[in-house]
Amino acid sequence: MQPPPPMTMIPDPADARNATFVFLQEDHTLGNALRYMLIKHPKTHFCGYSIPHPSEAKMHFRLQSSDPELSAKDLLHEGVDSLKEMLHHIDSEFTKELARFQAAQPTQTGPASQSQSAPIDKE
Amino acid sequence: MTFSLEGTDASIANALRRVMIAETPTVAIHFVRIENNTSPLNDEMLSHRLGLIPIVYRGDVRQLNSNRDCDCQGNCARCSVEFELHVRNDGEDTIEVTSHDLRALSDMAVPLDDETLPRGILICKLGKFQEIRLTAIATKGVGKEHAKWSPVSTAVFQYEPSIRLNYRLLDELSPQDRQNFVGSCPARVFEIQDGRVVIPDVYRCTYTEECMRWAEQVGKPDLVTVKQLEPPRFRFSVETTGSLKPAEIVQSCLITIQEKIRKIEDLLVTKQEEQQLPQ
Repeated sequence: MQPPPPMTMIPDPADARNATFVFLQEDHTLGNALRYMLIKHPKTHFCGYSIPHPSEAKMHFRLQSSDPELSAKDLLHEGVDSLKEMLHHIDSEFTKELARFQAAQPTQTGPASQSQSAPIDKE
Repeated sequence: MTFSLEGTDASIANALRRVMIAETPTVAIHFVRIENNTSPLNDEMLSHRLGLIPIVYRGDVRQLNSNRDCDCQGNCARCSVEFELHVRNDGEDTIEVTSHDLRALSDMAVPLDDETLPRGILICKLGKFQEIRLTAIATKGVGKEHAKWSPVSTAVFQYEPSIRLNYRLLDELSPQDRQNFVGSCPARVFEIQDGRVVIPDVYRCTYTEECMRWAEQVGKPDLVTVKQLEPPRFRFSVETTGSLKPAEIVQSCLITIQEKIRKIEDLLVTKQEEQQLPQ
């Protein structure tokens, strides 16, 4: 049996600008972050999410675009893109700052690093 | 480890925090085969205690297969690490069985060995002639399935407070009143140094607003204002269980969120071609 897709769309048959997206195995972690990114989008007319039932691993994401040229699906794509960019930025800033912090640190006195996976020391 | 995050919103900060706690993979003992257990603890209790011992995986945990999805039968080196525990008390005195007695059968992982815990983590005590003999299999998992896989003991963030003191009004207070003002804060945000009120660490503030209430009572409501810094800045504090290093957790959590997003993006891109999302 094929696993269900992680996201499905419930479109508005009359209007491509409106849609509800159903995310499986997602919760407030993604819902709230994505909601925040899309609410800042100038062409978002409405954006909100809900978890219809706590024992169902489903997240409903409602999106309405204010631009007739922009479908809800494309708007979601733009929101996802901007969230990706933001995380990418946090990631690179964190890595940069960590390297800077470690360079400024006097040589470690404790036992050698236990994990060989990454050259990271405890703060 | 502490770090600060700014230029974003609580929803992003909260996503980071939630992923650190519940969706950052680590390795923990998941299957235990008990061969002999004459200890005071029953098998279930013993297995539970073994599961909670932080396991340090040497290598990238993310590269490890999930035991459930691995194509092997049972378990293999690509999805698990095996441990062995065999302790028998032949002496008169009670002995302690600790995480140091847990022996890894491969060099890919070890139970947490930290200089702050020279005796290791206590698993059980054994009386005269009591014995524990078992093998344990550690697998990859995430904190939302069972807290034993959570790499953090605490992962929290705090809004940076913005506290403004009106020094002109403060100077009008008597030294005793200044002392009373400093004493009004239950979190001890203020201190007096050389007769001046100073704030040694703004993050001590817990927004009780007791200082503002005190100022209002003495008829000087402009003495102090406490609010959240605008735009917000968050201070994260990440404390690990020892299975991963704090910076590794933050990096792993960022990868996890990015993977989540990529999954959706892939779906959006492929669906674009088909012009139809599954309904």
